[in-house]
Amino acid sequence: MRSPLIIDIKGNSLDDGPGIRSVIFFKGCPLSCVWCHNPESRHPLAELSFDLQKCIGCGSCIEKCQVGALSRDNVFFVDRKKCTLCFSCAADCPTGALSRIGQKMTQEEIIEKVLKDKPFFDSSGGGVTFSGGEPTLHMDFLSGLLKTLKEAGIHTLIETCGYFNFDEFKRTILPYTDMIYMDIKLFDPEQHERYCGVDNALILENFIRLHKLSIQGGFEIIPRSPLIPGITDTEENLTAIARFLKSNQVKEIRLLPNNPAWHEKCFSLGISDRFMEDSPLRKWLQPAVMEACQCIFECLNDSYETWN
Amino acid sequence: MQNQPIRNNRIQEYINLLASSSQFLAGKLLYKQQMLLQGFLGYIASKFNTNSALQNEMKGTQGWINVSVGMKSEDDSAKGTIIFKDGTVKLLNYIPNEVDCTLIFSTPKDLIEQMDASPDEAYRMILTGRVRTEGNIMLIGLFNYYVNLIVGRDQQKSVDKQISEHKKANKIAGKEVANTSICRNEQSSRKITRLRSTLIDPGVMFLEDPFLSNYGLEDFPRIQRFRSEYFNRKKEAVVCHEYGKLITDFHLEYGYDVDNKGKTWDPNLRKAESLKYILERRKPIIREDDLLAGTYTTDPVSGCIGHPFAVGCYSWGELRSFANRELMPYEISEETIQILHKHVFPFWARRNIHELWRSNTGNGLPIQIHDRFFSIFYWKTVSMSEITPGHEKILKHGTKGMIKIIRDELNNDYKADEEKKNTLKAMIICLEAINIYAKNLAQQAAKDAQIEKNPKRKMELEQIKKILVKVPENPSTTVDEAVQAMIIVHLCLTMENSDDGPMLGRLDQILQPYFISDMNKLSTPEEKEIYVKHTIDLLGSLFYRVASHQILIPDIGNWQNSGSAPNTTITVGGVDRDGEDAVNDMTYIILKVTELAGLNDPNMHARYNPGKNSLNYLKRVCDVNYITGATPCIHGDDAMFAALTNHGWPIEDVRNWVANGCVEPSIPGKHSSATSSLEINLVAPLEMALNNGKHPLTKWEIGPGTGSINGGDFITFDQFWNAFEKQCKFLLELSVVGNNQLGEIYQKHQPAPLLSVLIDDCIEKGRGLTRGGGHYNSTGVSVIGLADVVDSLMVTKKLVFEEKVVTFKDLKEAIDSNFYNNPKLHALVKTRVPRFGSGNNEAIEMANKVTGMVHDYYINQRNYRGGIYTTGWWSMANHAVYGRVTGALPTGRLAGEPFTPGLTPHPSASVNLLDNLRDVARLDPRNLDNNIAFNVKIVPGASDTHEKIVDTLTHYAKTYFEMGGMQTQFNVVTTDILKDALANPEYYQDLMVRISGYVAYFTKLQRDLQLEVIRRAEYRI
Repeated sequence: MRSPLIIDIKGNSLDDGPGIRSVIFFKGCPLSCVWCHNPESRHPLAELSFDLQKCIGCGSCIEKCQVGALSRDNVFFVDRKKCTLCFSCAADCPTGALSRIGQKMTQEEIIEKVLKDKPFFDSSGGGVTFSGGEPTLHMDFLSGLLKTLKEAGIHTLIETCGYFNFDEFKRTILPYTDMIYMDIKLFDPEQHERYCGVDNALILENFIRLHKLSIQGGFEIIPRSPLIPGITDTEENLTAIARFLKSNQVKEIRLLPNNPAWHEKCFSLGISDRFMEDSPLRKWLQPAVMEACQCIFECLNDSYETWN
Repeated sequence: MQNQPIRNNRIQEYINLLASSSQFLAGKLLYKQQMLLQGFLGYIASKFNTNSALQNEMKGTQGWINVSVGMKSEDDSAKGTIIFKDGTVKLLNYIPNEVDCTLIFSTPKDLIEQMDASPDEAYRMILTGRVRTEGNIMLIGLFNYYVNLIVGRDQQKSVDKQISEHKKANKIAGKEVANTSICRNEQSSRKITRLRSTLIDPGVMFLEDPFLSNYGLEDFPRIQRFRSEYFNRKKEAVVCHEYGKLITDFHLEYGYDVDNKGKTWDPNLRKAESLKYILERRKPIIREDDLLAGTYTTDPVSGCIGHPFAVGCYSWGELRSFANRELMPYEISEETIQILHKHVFPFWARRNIHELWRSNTGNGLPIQIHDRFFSIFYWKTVSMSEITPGHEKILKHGTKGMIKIIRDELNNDYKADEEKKNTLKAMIICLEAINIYAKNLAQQAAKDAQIEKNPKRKMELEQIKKILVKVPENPSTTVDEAVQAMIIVHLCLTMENSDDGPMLGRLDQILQPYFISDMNKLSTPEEKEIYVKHTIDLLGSLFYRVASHQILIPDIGNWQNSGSAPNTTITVGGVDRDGEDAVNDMTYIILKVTELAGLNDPNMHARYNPGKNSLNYLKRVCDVNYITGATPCIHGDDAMFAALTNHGWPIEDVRNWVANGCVEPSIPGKHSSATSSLEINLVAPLEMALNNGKHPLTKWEIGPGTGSINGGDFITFDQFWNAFEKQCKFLLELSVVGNNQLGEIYQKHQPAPLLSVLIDDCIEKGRGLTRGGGHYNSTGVSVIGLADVVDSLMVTKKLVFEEKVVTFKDLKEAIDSNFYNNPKLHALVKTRVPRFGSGNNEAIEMANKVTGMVHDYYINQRNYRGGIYTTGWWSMANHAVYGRVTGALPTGRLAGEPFTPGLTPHPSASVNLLDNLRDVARLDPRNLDNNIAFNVKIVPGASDTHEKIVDTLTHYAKTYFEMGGMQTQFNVVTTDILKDALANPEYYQDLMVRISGYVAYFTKLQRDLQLEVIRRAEYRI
């Protein structure tokens, strides 16, 4: 079984599904959305991160590096072309300013980490959320985790981009999943390809098939749309999504307002940020815009429930 | 809490004078310190010897008010003595043995710096041992009073300067707040949404919506009025002289050591007669609009009793500076200053607890440690009354019935010894005295009613009078009678004992039977609704009465227990003696009053018994906590039961437990508990172990030699642990010795016959509380700095002995240099080793090992009453106080920084609150038998609804307690709100925060502590 790298296991999360939850972030994603707010989750392999805020400038990493990839003369500090990802600098760094993103973890290790919070899941109706990156890139591994959690009586939720093989998903994932959050980002296939790197036909098809299955019970699926200024929050796009959902009798959607915090992360990964300082993508969404977006859904069908 | 030697630039006037003289310039070259000292003292002397107004200040009602004070530097390079004797002032250039008190400066430099220091700097100097006192602390206060008369104006200038500097810095901090209007609205909007409930607990018999969501503050004009008068009062409290004057008058008239016939006074009889004298003569006051008669002081809104034998004795030097100090300014009249200075304080100068302790023990090691602030504070120098009396005894029997019980015991026990006879007689005198006070109040109520124009108020006053004629002499039969009887007895108890207590106990359990009986007499739903509303109103009066007294606190106390009220606790919820759910109508009514009153005192506590109490009840507790921001504090029954039954106490009694003072457990009506007798700095022995017995900051080689790091004496971690344990036990032993010495002083000088009436077995045994009369006898300790010690030990164990990342010598060197020489190591120790609160098993094991070691030591000691010592892990404000006297630690905590409050994990332990909750719940409760204080600062998300926030708090609390958690206190507040409150306090007068056990108004906190609260880890909901 090919096992994924884990970026983080975040406990006490209150925003990724019902109740108090632990969220497991997988590394790697088949999409490449330009606004991705977890830039560290895109690449499936381990990466070196450098956090300038934490660095005290002791310089011991510079001595440690065998290939001379670290230098104060470099704005990014790390020369990614030279770096061999040996991570000996990270192991030596006293503050954690240099760190390895993406850890190998066995299923047992992951389960042990999340199980300790089971009492909190139980009393709050919470559970475990798989996120990323894209957790379905590693269906076997994910399936094993889900099965163990299910047997332990823990509520499971998957946050997915929807870009996966349906049959495999149905066979290995669905039996152990209570809830699915699936993103419908852009309705127009060309736009989708342009901003997210892949065509959306598979995503929409997977969504409809899962939605139909969910009516028979056993799990829930909720669509989500990120509201990215000028890209996804256009009337055209949202109306198209709303129509699509309406025609499939979907009564609920979660709207996720633009989160600009990710821009900060780009520096530490050595990615040059393609959005300028004054780009609307670098700002939080205005409440008025949020309301207008909600209205598009609610106006089309008053039984709609939009939440964020 | 004592001692305020010369501070700030109080001698600026003198320095200015000297600076221009050639003599001074010469002195500067050669004998600067000696010249300054002599010059300073000479200046004071000449003023007093030539000014008749000043001479008049030296004359008291019992003769001249004399004092002799030595001042010197530790190395003896500068010294001198000033003697105020019989109206003249003399100087000596040496210090005679018989001097009343001596101020000792660590270095000659400190002497100079102290003269020019701001108040904050001066207190830092005291608290860091750069200035210390030996001798009679109350008389140092007198000396300060005299000095203040001359340079008071300069002192005030320096205070004012500091206040304006703080304001300026606070305004700058406030600028970091992005949106101040969100902050200000957030607080008030919490009160607007009211959750309803239709779920009814089995013990709730009348309330259809136990959350009482129909009522808001606007429905209770009386509570609104009290609230407004309370929060808009000009000064923190009025210093009242009534109590001090009456108790002094009594002893002047009837004697102290011997009575006026020359016979040795029996301490109990003396105490009882003095109480009677006071209660007969004190002014009976019914506050305008109040439903309850009686006050603690002559100021019905907020006053200080100021017991001169205890806490009052530390305030002499500040009588004239109280009014304009930065923290907790008091109002004080010239008349009160004159009475306290000339009449009251001179009488108690050698009869206060602290001085009796010093003179009786020949200034032994315990009092020396106490006076140097760095490791043990003996709270008995202030009080011994953290006890929950059995209020039901008075409600059930009336004072009349109790007198009969005591008389019967007296008559039936033929073998009664002299002590028993005297103790029981004293009890009767006390109970009769209560009746006299109640009758005086009844007469006053009648008088007030007669002249009252408003017919509604007239009826209320007549009703009050009717109640007072009946109770507390006779048994109470209604809620009104029961509450009036309780508060009168409480007022009288604070006339006998210090007023940091006694507690009110399980008010919901006490009042529910009367509430049921009253409600059953009513027939229509309307009548019942009106009565529920009346009960809320009545308890509003009770809450504002309890809040109306403040402990007379010297300025240095504002550093030690900044913002602390007397902490009269009320406990609700939990189970009854049979283990059944005890939540009832009164539980919810009291929670409603807590919400409406918005007070830090009474200090509110809610017990949660997993499995017995409903989730709905816990939700309401969390709701009130969210609305008020900080209260009530929540306790888990399972952990407390495990801790207390471990003492062999029967489960039926344990099920009745209440929180005392801050959080400490006590069995109401049975337990002589003195739960905050000792405040121990656990980091001091760690520092002593690192320094072979020497305490670094005080430079005092006090502990045993346990090995030198530089000498290579520690090959294994166990060896270092043994050194720590040895230093620990050395200090703990001294804590026991000193506490027991103080206990004996209370036996001889300040017994508590009235309080003893309300504790089981005292009557039968014929022994008061101080003599071990109570059914349960224990002494409570609070141990401060657990997380800092555990994390320090973990760093030492892992990095020095296991991973060998650093040698012990290098680590020690880094600590000694405050990590200045080794920033890499500083970063490393902060990140590499898992801390307590991170979920790491080894860290928990270490925490259990440390708590176990301290607990096992104390549980095997015996106090002066034959009881055990119990160990608690809460800190009041001492985590900041002791932090100041502590150097850098292996954890990377820098010198002077506060420890974590109570046993709260360090903010860096984990970003996941659940790790904190889980770790604290995993501590062995048996080692926490005087409870804990675990702070959790919670920040709601901007778009979270009231219900979602309350639900999340409820889930945290429920799970934590089901996992065996003992206590937690939520502060639901954002850092932005705190910063805005720092900059703009006028918007946040009632903003409450939990410090460590007690609740304080944020804007009234000492600034270091405000910053500490801001720095705490915050967990977003």
